[in-house]
Amino acid sequence: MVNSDTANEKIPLIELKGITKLFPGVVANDDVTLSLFPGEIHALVGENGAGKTTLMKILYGEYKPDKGEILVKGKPVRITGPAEAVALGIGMVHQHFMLVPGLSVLENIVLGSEPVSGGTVDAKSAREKIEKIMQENAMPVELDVDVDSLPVGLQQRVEILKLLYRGAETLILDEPTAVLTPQETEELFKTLETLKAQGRGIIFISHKLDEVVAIADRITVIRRGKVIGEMPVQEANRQKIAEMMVGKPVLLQVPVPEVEVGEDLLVLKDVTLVEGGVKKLDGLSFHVRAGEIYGIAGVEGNGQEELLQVVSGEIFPSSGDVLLCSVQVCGQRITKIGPLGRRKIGIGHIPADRQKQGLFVNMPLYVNAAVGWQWKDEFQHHGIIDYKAMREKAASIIQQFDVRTPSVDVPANALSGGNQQKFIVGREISFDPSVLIAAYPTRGVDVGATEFIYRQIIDEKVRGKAILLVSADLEEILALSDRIGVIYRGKIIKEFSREEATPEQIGLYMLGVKEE
Amino acid sequence: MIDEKKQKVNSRERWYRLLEGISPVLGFLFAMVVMMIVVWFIGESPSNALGAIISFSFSQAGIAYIISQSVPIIISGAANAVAFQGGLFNIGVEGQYLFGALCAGVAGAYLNLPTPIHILVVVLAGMAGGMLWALIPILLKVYKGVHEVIGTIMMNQIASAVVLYLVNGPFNGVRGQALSYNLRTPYLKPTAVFPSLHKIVNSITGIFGFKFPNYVAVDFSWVIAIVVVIGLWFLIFKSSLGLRIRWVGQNPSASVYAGVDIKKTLFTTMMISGAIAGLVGLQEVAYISKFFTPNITKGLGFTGLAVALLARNNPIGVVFAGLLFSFLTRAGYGLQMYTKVPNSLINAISGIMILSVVVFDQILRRYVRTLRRKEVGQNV
Amino acid sequence: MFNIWYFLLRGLQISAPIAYGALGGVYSETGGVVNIAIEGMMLSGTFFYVWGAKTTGNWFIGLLAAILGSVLLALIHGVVTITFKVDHVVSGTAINILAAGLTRFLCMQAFGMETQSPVNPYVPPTVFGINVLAFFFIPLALFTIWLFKRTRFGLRLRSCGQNPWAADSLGVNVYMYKYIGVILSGVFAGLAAATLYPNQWIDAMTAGRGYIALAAMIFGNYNALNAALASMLFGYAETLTYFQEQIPLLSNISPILIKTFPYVLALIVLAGFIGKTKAPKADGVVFEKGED
Repeated sequence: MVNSDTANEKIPLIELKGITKLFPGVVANDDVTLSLFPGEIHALVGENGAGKTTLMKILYGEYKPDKGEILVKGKPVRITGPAEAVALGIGMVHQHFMLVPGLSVLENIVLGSEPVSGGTVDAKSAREKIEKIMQENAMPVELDVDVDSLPVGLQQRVEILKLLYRGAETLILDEPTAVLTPQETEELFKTLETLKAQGRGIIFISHKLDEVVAIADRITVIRRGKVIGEMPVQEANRQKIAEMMVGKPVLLQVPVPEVEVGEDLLVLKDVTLVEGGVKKLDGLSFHVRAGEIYGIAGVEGNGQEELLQVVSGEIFPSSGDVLLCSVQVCGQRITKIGPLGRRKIGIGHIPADRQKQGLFVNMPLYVNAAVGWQWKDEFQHHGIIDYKAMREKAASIIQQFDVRTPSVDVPANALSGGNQQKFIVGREISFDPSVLIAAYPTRGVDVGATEFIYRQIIDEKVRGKAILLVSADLEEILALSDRIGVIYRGKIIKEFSREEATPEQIGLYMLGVKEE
Repeated sequence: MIDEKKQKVNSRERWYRLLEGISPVLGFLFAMVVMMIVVWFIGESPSNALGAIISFSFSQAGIAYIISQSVPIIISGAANAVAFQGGLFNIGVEGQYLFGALCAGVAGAYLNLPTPIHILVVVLAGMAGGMLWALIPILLKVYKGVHEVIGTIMMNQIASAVVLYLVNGPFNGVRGQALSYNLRTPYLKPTAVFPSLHKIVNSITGIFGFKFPNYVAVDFSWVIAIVVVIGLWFLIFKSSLGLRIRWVGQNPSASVYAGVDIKKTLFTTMMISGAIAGLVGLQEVAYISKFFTPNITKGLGFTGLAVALLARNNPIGVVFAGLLFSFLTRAGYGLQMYTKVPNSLINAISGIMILSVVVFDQILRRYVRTLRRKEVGQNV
Repeated sequence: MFNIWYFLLRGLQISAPIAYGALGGVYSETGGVVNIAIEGMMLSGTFFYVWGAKTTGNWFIGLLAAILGSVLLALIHGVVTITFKVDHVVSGTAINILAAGLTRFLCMQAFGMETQSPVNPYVPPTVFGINVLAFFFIPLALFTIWLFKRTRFGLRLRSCGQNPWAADSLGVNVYMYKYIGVILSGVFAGLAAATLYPNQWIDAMTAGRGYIALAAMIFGNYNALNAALASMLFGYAETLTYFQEQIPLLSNISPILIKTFPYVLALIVLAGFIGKTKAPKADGVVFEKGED
């Protein structure tokens, strides 16, 4: 057991000295120096794309640094792959879990470090060892089930068990709370405190400032690959960290103007969706009014994906109705109308995944200007495509929505993520839909683009559109929404108005602890 | 200043496209080098082999043959290319053209119709046969999720037995010789036979001093090939159906997002591919032998697959790749006749050529992607 | 007279090459490499068997040669799909085309004939009148199940087919395991070849059995034992066609048409059951390590 007051006199577990990593055209890490002591939680904070994950992947041996030195317990080491990192007592929980579906929890934990006796994996001794670890740290998980069947919180627990099983003294956690509810986060923090008390060192990557202040002993802020500052938690406050992260004072809240709300434009009535015998949506109802942003909050996997498919028309519900008011008619049943038909009557859709859904990444940008709207008369005459009109459209999106691209002829994947997203947002808005679905509109996008996209969404609201916002980022939902619906097991179990919504209250419903 | 920058971007874009497009050339060269090494290895001098290929292929008769025999290869390449464009792997072109050729032969032999209509019916029968054989695999894929590769392969196996059965039974033109080598349908009616285009073609090529000999097929199937290639080019690159086909081929989930009916598009793509495949055997059935036989030239479906890959599924590219494979076939015969090298080496080499084209393609694409990333980095 | 004992043995003999092909497929696809090149590997193996056995006068060396001949193509498939990350189906098809030409070319070089070899008397010993190798596919399937479930190798191979990125993050050498899976599929294709018809090499003699093997693998839900049993379904279906005249129900069907029976059966079976099968999650997915 290590007392954190005396930690500084100890030899650090990890020292990174002058780490520089170049990606084509980008300096991902620039002369980064960082240390971690036993019994310490060291938070690494910075914006998306600041270089936090890259730095940790270097420490975990997944990337090779171009310059710099890594010391483990005072000794310089070369880490050429995860196997070496594991051998040196370093473990990492990736932001996207690295679990193998189809393998049991036990198999997932031992994979890569299997105890072998007589040519076979010694499941018995592995089980004993894991059970001991689970007991010591109060992290029980059932070992014989398919890891895929576990909820997210438990999957994360399995990830941490993987590290402990390997005897990791240094634990790297990359955005561990991104997928957790506030309550699950609290559980995680308890676990981290236990691990810390055992003398392990933890590097905690996050951009959620409240959490950082709550759990960390030391904070390092990184911006554009450079260390901007390092401070003990006692000297830190949210405003100060935020300024260091972004480089200029930022408004943590986007101003949302008051708009007079109109009538219901999008209504879901008692929508149920059964897939493969499982109820993905279970009598889900809500309505979105003109001039209103309706946010859907929830733990991932509670039906958000299916809800988006039902609203966009990609899947038809097993029962229940979807109704729409458009310029032409009101109260139209659109339950059995596909995505094409829904666009025609005025639904725009910023998709959850810009690379997989929103764009044809290998096709020129001008073709992507018409994705979803290819049926419009301006783009085709008697089944023949008008490429000229597509180019004009692309050019106007680029200009209006500040998309940085060398030309309209480059394939969409030649653009950065933020610019791709701005292009999609621009495309959907420019066709003037009366209802806009915004799914994870700023996921993986830098702060500048995020702010820009927020403004666009708010402008749409001001123009009297009905906006359905689905996001995994509770802060985003709280910042933008007029009303918030909490989805849990395929149902909206609680609605909050802007005024009454607090993260803690919403969290309780997200977890299903409270139900109406 | 802005113009200058734009020009720079454009020239860089052209360079990228050239890099991405050059893999077929590299693959071809690589395969030729491998071939020459093998030739040398089995104790034949590469220069001798090369000489045999050149003199046998680039004589007047050689060139005439290469052009004429490229017709079915080009059509098969087109059938494969459209499937690839739509994200389908139609290994069933082989069975589809076999069955299509049977249908065409039967329509030509048993129906009584005036000339132009009869020819049209023969062509349509071929297309219908190809579509019919493509129908089961695509239905299985769309409704049951059976991968089209498995479905079409099974249909290929079934096709060879079924045509044998049909020509041995109901459509036998040589009674009493069951299962014989000469097994065939009755001769096509004269009204159904494709007209020769020798005179017209020679009157044009004659200007350049080139004549197609009489024994080389210059016939209506040339027109079919030209129509298929141009029609397909237009479909793929100019029509909105073609755009949807390419979308589904490149990214099904984005296509769903864009409101494209995936099942319908896959079905349409496969039907187009099957219809074109049904035309592959027509030159042989309706012009050269004037009957259908189960011993009709085999393997054109697989050659077409290689052609499509080499042409990167571009219909115009298919013409050049088809001519190249026709040349390779001819070169094989040249080797067989004048050197120790057997014809089959060419088959093995076309396998190697496909592999090297796709490998070069991957390498170059990755390289261009890295270059583009660098550029994005600079723009940030 | 219909001799049931003879029928059962004959069926085992006919099922065995399909089953070995299917087991080969299981190894490759468990590691995440789609392998329609099984057909070509088997064809290559058949030539090398005859060549090896006839040259040395020893059937066992023939077997080793068959395995080497199949593994050679498996290696090409591995290099193209794993190292160069080409689409697995494109590579498999190209290898099948390559195998068709290569075997004819080699037969010409070895025996001076292009479409068939001379008769090869050096065949594996027979037990109960059939090729002894035909008796091992069920034990090998059981062994495979044990191997996948109980050993480090099996666990790691499965992880590569399900989530190679996760395996990589735990220090598993994904490329190596994928290569091993593909190479083992070559070994099984070689076994299939030596069981098929070792007396002579004939052009295109595998006649789609590699594809039937894949259908059996899918029908068997990528499980070694089920794949072997599914192979027996197809094998016995084919066997029925040879006993057609002795079976009252079948004797009226044309002997030509009945040859399609296994293929039609494969289509029906796949159409009926495929919705319930589960391929490894990353089967056919290109895995790229590291800095992308």
